[in-house]
Amino acid sequence: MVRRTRYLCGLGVSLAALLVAVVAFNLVVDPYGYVGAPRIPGLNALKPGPGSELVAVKRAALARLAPDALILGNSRAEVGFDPEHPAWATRGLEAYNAAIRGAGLEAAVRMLETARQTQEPEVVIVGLDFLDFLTAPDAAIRPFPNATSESVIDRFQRWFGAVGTFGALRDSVRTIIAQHGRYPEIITDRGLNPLREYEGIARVEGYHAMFAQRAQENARAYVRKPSGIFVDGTRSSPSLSIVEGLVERARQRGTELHLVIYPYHAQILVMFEAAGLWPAFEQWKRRLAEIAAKGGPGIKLWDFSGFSDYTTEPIPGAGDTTTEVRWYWEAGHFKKALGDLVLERILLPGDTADAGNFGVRLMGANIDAHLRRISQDRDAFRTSNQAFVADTEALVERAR
Amino acid sequence: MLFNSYEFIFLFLPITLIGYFVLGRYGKGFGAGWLGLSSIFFYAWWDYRYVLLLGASIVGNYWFGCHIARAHGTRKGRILLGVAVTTNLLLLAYYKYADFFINTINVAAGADLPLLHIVLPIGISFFTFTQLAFLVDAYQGKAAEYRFVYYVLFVTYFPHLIAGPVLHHKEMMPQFDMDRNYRARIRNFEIGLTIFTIGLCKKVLLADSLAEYANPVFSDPSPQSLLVAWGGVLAYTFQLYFDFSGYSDMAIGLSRLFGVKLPLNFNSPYKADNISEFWRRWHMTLSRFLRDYLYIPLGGNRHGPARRHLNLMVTMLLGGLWHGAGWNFVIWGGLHGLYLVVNHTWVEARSRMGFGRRSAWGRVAGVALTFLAVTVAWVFFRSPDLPTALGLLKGMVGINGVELPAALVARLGFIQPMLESLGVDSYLGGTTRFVMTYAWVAAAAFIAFAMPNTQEIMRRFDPALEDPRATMAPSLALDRLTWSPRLGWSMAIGLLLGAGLLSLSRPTEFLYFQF
Repeated sequence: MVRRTRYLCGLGVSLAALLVAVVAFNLVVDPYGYVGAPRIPGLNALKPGPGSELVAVKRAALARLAPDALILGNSRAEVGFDPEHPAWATRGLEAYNAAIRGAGLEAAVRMLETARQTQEPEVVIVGLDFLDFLTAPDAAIRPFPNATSESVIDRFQRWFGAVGTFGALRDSVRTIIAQHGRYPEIITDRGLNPLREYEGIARVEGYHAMFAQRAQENARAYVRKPSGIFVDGTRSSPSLSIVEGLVERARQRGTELHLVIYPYHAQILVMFEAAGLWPAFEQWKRRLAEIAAKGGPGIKLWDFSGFSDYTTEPIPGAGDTTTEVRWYWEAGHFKKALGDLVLERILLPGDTADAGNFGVRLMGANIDAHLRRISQDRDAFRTSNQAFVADTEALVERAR
Repeated sequence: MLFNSYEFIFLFLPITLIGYFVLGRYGKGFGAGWLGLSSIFFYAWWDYRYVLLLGASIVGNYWFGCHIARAHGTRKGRILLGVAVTTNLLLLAYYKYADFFINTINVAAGADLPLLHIVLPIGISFFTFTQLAFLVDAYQGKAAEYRFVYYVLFVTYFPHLIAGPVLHHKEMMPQFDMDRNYRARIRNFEIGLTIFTIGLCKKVLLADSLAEYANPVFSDPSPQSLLVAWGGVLAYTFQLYFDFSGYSDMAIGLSRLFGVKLPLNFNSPYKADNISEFWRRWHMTLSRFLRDYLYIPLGGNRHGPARRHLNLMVTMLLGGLWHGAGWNFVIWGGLHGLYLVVNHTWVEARSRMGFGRRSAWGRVAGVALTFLAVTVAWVFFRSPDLPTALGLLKGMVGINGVELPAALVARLGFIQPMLESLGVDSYLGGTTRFVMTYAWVAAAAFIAFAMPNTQEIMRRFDPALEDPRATMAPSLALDRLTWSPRLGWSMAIGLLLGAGLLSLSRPTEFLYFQF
């Protein structure tokens, strides 16, 4: 019998050996930090950006760390807003960056509701991306997303995915490589994506290439977007209704909620205009101000998207691979350095000596003046940067 | 339930196998009944709403088949056959083609008829075709009457139900009636598990990896430059092959666990040196069906070359439409019909001009030309619409220029001036994708063109109904890669199975499920 089943036994043994080896390796390296394996420098002290596992990793971290302040949004927030900025400690808060790259507001709400299952956050910062609010006029407005708790099966799948798959094995290998790379792709324990790999790209290809590549992609995306923010017959949209829900719940729960319009680089602002999106951009801010006003004093809407010294930082010319851009990786993603200024403005009002037009709190009373000022700044920027504006507009035109 | 899912591999399959062999001890009817019920459960897991449709199709066709067989060759038999075939085709037309026809009328006549938005019952093309063959054979007196339970099993048999192979009752029903197939045999497990493992790895390691590099070019409406377009289209060319032949291998392997051999469905089609040969190697059971039940009844090659060419075109156009309710599939079928006509004309011209046997280089040129023609046709097969297909083809002939990723050009150093003089441009970003696309295409091409296929590896152990040794194409390392139930092979297959299982976490659908 043994002789007859030798093939099947051999197959079973080698199969089991491979599975055991992979699971053991993943347990030791623990690429997602689920297992709590000891952190050994050179092996697994840094954790790689987990790609498709990101939501699960951040959910697990929220349950483990129970933060009392949250950062929500998309990759702009994930890259720019540092949960370990000293301003948090000054306010006596422990923050976590639960922003999810490539995700809209619905994902942000789910992260918030997940966090609330462990700890009710006192302060929440939500990054608002205008592009998420452009809506088809017949889009369906869905009910406010509910909390989804992790079932036993979910938990099993998460654990299994963390140890028993090739995806996990690949991330384990990436973990080890990340310890030794000069520009490793990682996320911090508090959820910030420091985008170190961009540093490496900037060194080789220069910032011009990074801005140019993104600008091409953005131009193609913007000209294909709908150009309105409201669903027909309403003053709402899928994303606006989520903001309304967020504001209402923050008011009820007494949460300090900061709605933050990201500091887009001027290149993106020029593109908005060239793509015919500027009227919707202004209308969006007005509507956000109305919604925020309903929430009372605990709800603050901040606009960082004007033409300030920061957002108009020059982009190095073609062929220049040495000039460093201080505030941006490319026009859509600001660096932590600029994110720090945003956080200081929001969390420590009064501490920023001269914020100028960078970070204006929008209220019903100042919205007209504010929008007027941005328009004037825009015209001034166009006048003094004619070649740059013409190039950017041409890029949008080519993408049509 | 996908073959490449945890629930299939760790629950459905073991439970079905155990039930089959335990119940099979009490009689073939019990074993076959259990397997039939399990198969219906497998189908219901996809979409329980259409179990009744499947059931009605089976009962109705069995009833018709029995009556047609008893009246075979008579007028009554012909009428019954006509009614049964028409009913089957109407059902298929309603569920699969209604919206296509309505849409075509709307576009052609500027009408505004509302679409029906019917959800396609999965596998309907397959279970309709297998039963049509049964009905026609019953009329011709070629179908023996078997127990109803075997008929149910023949139609629903889960290894083939969703995406083929297109089975023929003559090769399946006798196997369901064999006593020895209801006893668990170690050799069947060895062979079945090995073939299943090879198929699983083709799917999850090769096809799914290639998909990542194939999908973007078909979903990006912007103009693609030559190398980018070719990279994506070649990735799809190999993705489809490894996906569908992987699925077919898994079906053959799974069936072998139950002692039942299935017909071959793929035989290294990209090694074919002419288009006729390609169709003898690609989706072989469908080709066989179309030949026996469409091309030959249309007259085949019995009425002169012109009629033969017309029959080929009709067969391929309908074969294209069988793959999907869309004009792109019709164009794809039409292209293949045209290829076949050109091929036949060329073969006739060669023989008339007295050319002798082809040289080795002639064969290589034949393989290259066939592969090129097939790849061009896949563009229509895969593209979501005609503008996308035409846009990609423009890119493939160089109308949108030739570009390489800027970062790659920067690293090419000494040949950079040469590239510039050739008019090769550069684009920003996408370096990793570009390099990985061609790396995967190269690896896939090596396996598809140079390596022995599954049945060649397994050829000493009757892996399928046909003997693979009769139609082997040249490949590297054939002797070293000839399977036998030895320890070395068991270790290798165990590792491959492990690799396949570790890649299951996000099951992806097989491409042929949509047909």
